[in-house]
Amino acid sequence: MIDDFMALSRVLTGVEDLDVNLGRQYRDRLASSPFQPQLDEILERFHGLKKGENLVAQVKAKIVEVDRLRPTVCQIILLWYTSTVQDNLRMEPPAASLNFRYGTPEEYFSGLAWKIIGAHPPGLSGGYFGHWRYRPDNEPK
Amino acid sequence: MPVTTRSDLLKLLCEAAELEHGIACSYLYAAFSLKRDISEGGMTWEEQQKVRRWAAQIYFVASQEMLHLALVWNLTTAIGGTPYYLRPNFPQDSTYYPLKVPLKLEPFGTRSLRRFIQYEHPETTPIEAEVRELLARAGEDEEEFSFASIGELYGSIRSGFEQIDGKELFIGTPTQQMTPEFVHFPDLVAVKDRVSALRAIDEITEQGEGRKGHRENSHFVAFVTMLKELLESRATGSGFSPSRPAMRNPSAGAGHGYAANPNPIGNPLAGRVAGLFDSAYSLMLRMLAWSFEFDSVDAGPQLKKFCNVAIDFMPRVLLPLGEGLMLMPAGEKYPGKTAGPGFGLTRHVMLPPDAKNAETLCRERIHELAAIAGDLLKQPLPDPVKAGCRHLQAIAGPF
Amino acid sequence: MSPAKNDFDVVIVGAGVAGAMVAYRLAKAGARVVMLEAGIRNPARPQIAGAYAIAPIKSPHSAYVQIEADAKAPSPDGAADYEQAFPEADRQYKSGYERRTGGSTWHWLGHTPRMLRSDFEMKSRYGGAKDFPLAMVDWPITYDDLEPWYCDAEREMGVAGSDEEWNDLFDSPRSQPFPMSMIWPSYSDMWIAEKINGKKFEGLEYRVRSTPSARNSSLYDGRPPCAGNSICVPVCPIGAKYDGYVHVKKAVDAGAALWEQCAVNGIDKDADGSVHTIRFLTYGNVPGKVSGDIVVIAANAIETPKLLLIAKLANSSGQVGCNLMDHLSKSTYGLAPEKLFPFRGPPSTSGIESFRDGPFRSNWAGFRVSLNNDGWSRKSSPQAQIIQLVTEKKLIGAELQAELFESVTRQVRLSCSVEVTPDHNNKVELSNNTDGLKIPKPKLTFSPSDYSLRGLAHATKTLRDIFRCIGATNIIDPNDADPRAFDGAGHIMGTCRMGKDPSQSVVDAHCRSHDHHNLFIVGSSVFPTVGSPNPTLTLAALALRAAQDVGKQLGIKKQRQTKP
Repeated sequence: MIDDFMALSRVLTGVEDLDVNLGRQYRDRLASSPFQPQLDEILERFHGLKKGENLVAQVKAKIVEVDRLRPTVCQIILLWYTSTVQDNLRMEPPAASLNFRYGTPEEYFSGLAWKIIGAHPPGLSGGYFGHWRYRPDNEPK
Repeated sequence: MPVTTRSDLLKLLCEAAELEHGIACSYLYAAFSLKRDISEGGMTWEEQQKVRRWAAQIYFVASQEMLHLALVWNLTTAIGGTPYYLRPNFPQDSTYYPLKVPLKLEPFGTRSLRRFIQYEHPETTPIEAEVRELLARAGEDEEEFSFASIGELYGSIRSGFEQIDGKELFIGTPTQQMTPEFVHFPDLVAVKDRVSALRAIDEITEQGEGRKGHRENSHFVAFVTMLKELLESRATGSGFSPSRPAMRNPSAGAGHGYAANPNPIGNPLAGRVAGLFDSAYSLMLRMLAWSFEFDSVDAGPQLKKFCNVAIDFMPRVLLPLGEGLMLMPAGEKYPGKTAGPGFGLTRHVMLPPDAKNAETLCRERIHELAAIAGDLLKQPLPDPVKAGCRHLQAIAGPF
Repeated sequence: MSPAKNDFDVVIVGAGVAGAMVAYRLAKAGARVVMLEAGIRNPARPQIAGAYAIAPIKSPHSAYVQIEADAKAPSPDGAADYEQAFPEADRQYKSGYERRTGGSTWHWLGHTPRMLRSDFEMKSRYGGAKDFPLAMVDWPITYDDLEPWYCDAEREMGVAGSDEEWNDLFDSPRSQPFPMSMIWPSYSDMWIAEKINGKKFEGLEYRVRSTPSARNSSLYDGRPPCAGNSICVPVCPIGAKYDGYVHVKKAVDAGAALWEQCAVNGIDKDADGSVHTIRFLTYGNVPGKVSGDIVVIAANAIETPKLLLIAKLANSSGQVGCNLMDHLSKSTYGLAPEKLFPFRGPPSTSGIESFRDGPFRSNWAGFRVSLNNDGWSRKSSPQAQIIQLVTEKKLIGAELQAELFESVTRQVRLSCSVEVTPDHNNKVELSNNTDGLKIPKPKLTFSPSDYSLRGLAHATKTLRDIFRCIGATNIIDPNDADPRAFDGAGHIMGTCRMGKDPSQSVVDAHCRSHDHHNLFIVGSSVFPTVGSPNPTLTLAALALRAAQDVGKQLGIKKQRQTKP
């Protein structure tokens, strides 16, 4: 099961190098959340996809496109990107106040969103005095 | 022995330039080697906080060494000299300088911190027992530590500026002096007379070794504290491993080292990246040295352009390439080790006095480097190396 | 000094920046000093950063939560934590404070602009116009009186700033250079500056300046330079940002005593009107008392008047607790046409000072503009964008990454800090509710004046104009729906104001109580007016100046200022 979760996570996040220990922790957090039933279904669908063919396209068609499953898709990405669970995730535009739940500091400082925007997890040093004057040294495309 | 001639003073300033420059590279190498992400292994989130704080400190100290180099260049041109930007390639053993401390490229650790402490130790005070004991505890290698300090060198330089008559000495034009307007050093002093010269020298020594009774803000104390913290972390017996397993004293070129016994990088792709690093570094240096030499009145546009490009190079090309190299394999000869930048300086001309020609040489060269970067991007590379290559292309584009 | 009939020469209530600076100066000069602090000692900085990391709501107090301390010495974290006279959002007091050893500067941003010359002379300079609030007053001291102390405070805290940009701003000269060169402006600041510098709005010229800050740009005082951890509020994980604990430690090293977890709940008045004995409760509810020749209250501008009201002291003027002030804070959000790379560096590194002073202050409040580096984090970014892109646009993987990189990197937040005017009716009183030690909690009444709300309206327009100049889109402005909407700035001030007239003020120009000759009050509670700058530098300057007065009163010769 963890292999499927990790493989799915790689597709959803677009990041190849995901830590399997983090994966277990996120899987466990989801297992004890309202997203658990959808997660099971998503993993089942993922398991049934044809490996070797365009995985991203299949995931989009068979999982992301399904309205009922998309909040959970979003939740998986939110965990890897920001280590948060958003209980109020719904299909409509998000509620005005979002209530995020965090896990451990290790998860927080491993969040992937920050590198994606050329920054760093708030709380961790961004590099050295003055680096904010220049464009990021880790600027992605 | 006090210094009484311009020529002797200029020679000492060249030695100081070499030292500040070489030491800065040595610090940068250690900073590059410190891990960034928890996913690299060997650190908890709390240890990551400590490691990134150490990295920030070392980068800061390195930036002050670069400020010192800039101050030395200003001192040099103020008395009619030209900025000396060459340095011998790594490694240099402890007999190369009167300093008696070897110049090496090593990843962060007790060995490198011991060396750093020796580079910065104060001239006049005998080394305190506490620090001696700390250094003895940390040492595993065979080299004796010795304390001829850089402070002595600046003591001699200071004497030259004090002894030689100001009217004879300060023959450089004031508009040659570099100011914070051109390079991002708010504490850069324009040197035009004895008072400003001594102020520049005092700034260097205060930042490095501190003032007597006020050492808490010196590089020296920063490194002593860092070594203490590192030894404490090790003592708790965790699997704490703050630095990447970078090789020592790498060189990009295979075989033909320009120093005694560097370690040529074996992995071809890493070797190419290291070669690009060296070329970018060399070009950056030459643009900066030219900017310090020539007059902002005569050569304003080129000077500004060279400074801006050189300043952009540091954080966006050299830093990511340098850090990224330490994520690439060093080669079969170095099992378990990763590569690193050699800061290799190869034979090359200084940029010519004619501003347009200088610009032409730089433009051609930067576009060549951008093409090399473009080629490298077709290969699988760690993210920081990719970023460095892309940034080099982005900077080269509008040059 | 008198022979020891009291336990200490000086008892200081509150070990925040003001109390600790006074303690340090006096202890160094040889006085016997004790600091009484209601709060606990904080854990190590990385621990605090870790607590912040997993806090569900990233508020100032979120990193400092500790159950017993929060019950026994509560730290209000916002409007909802106070009993308030008015229910409406635009008549609420919104700023909280931190009761921990070292005080609220643990979670401050670190900005240290000075007050301007005019800020000390509002009534003489701008009074008379029909729109000008009658309750405005002049300070009993001038900018020139305080200037040497500003320099002193800057050295004590370690302030980084640009001499070139700041010397003699609005006729407020600096006699000493900044101790450290400036905190570098961000990429975003410089991009915005290029677009707006020199342009005018409402007759005033935009000029982006780096903000002076008690944040190291260099190794200073044995503390490292800023490394861009970006969570100054609520904590600097490496100690590059100054906080009051620096001086608590210095005071203790100089010989001062520090008694933590001691919540003061009473002060005795002697027959001759002097106050010597301070009563307190420990967390175990054990009562204690301690006496001093001189008493200094430095408990912040809500706890200080609260204590004086409980003890029924220092209030012949009826002004204790009155003139509660803050700055009206407000943010506007937008997307720049180019990537500016927020979420890097300190949350703010530059600002615009042009709107802080001028003839317009006869009619509406001045304000300070900040350029911010924290993107739309206050609007739950980047989570909100991730949610939107996945749930609405169905993006995942590389496409999601690309879109995030395209949009989040263009986020800009501009903000302002509007002057609030003194008003007898805005005040701190005693609530019937009590805390975990059965000490009364504060009850607040706050309603900003029309003068300040007019300033807020101008500030709102100014921020929109800046966004227009930079070609921003996707503007989010809370004041579109409600022109009177504002946030708290965290600047609690005014409740024990200084003045020449004892019938109109609580302390004199030296922070000495009019009513009790051996009682001093330090902190921002003594501010008669507040201008638009962050108050900490001013309160620190006043505290250092008051320390000298306390010392004189004790018979100590001149205290040594820190060498430049």
